[in-house]
Amino acid sequence: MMGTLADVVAYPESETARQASVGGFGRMDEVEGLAHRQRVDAPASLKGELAAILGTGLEVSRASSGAFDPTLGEVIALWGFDSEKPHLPEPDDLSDALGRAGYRRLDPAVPGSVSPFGNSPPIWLDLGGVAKGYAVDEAVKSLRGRGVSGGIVNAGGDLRTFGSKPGGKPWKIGVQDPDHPQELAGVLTLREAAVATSGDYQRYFEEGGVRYHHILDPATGYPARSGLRGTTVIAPDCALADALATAAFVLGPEKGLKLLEEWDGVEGVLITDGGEILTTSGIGKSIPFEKR
Amino acid sequence: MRSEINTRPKFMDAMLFVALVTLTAFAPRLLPAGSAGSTLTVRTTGGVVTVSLAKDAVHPVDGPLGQARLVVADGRAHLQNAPCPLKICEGMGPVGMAGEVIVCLPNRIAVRVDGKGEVDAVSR
Repeated sequence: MMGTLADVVAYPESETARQASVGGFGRMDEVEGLAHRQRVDAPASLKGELAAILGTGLEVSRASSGAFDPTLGEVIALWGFDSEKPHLPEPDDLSDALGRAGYRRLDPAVPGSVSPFGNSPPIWLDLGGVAKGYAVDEAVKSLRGRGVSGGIVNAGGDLRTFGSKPGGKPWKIGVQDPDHPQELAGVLTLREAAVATSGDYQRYFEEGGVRYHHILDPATGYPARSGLRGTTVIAPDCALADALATAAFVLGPEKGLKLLEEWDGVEGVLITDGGEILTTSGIGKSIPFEKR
Repeated sequence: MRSEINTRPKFMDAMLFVALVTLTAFAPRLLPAGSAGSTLTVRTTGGVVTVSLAKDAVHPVDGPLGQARLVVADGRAHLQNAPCPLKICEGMGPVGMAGEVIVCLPNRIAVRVDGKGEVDAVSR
């Protein structure tokens, strides 16, 4: 979904599990439609699932002082990362688009809805950084509702485990090594959790000898150069893990680690440009982590 | 399961789903991943073949839309010259870790890397 591949593993293996997995995919299909870039004219009120997805995103926006920003739709479009030919945008265009973005233009004043302030230019939302995780969460709900007792829903590396494997064993989740994509930086041992990763190795292009990746710093509109190559976040739900992984990546090693450390129920594994692995305090304690 | 997907063109274009759930569609096991694979299982409407990842080669793979090329080089594989409209399958590769997959739903091609795995999934 959203340009990636989704897998479902469901237990106990049965025709019921197979049908439940199809139902889970269907649920992700419904959510996928909400993740597309969309224009919001002010004033407007967003409700329902869109508001729920945006609400999680804005929570992370505020906590990270805008390191995660779901209003970068116009900026992301200029880079063309979701097209066949991403490219370096004109600086003036980027500056103009950035001037119309900003999570502070959205006001979560009414529970369940979000209204752009006053009479201002339209906002282009891009919920790609949170909707994929939300879709994973919804698929897990769907599977559980259909009697599946354990499994993994994995949408391109943003995943959620639930229940346990046959025999009651915990799940083993690998964290990809940014420098060697065929290898693992480490393995997490989990029961029920969501895991999401943001890395500069996932989507990028090169122009003029410079490598441009797809995780944009909302402060500049350019790819974040924070000193991190990858951030993996473990959280109670995948929407939150998804957004926090992006925010921590943009913030960099020190501030990123602090953001994750201070968030209840959240842990993280950060890999720096130099290959150093930084972890929050619960990694290696409540969540076993075996470095490779 | 494929018939479910086939009835939804938007679904096919925007989302690529593989359910590794039961004995019926794919291997009856967890998603092993995280270690180098040794073989590829290639599923098409014409059947299932196994291809070695150890030997560099180009394998023609036929689907209802036409022929794609499965390129194996340096222990990894990717699809090339795919006749599908969006070429999403070409963008998925190269793959080489056990459990990784390349899927072309429009052309009914699924390629899975097999090998001894040690983890249930990889976050990337």
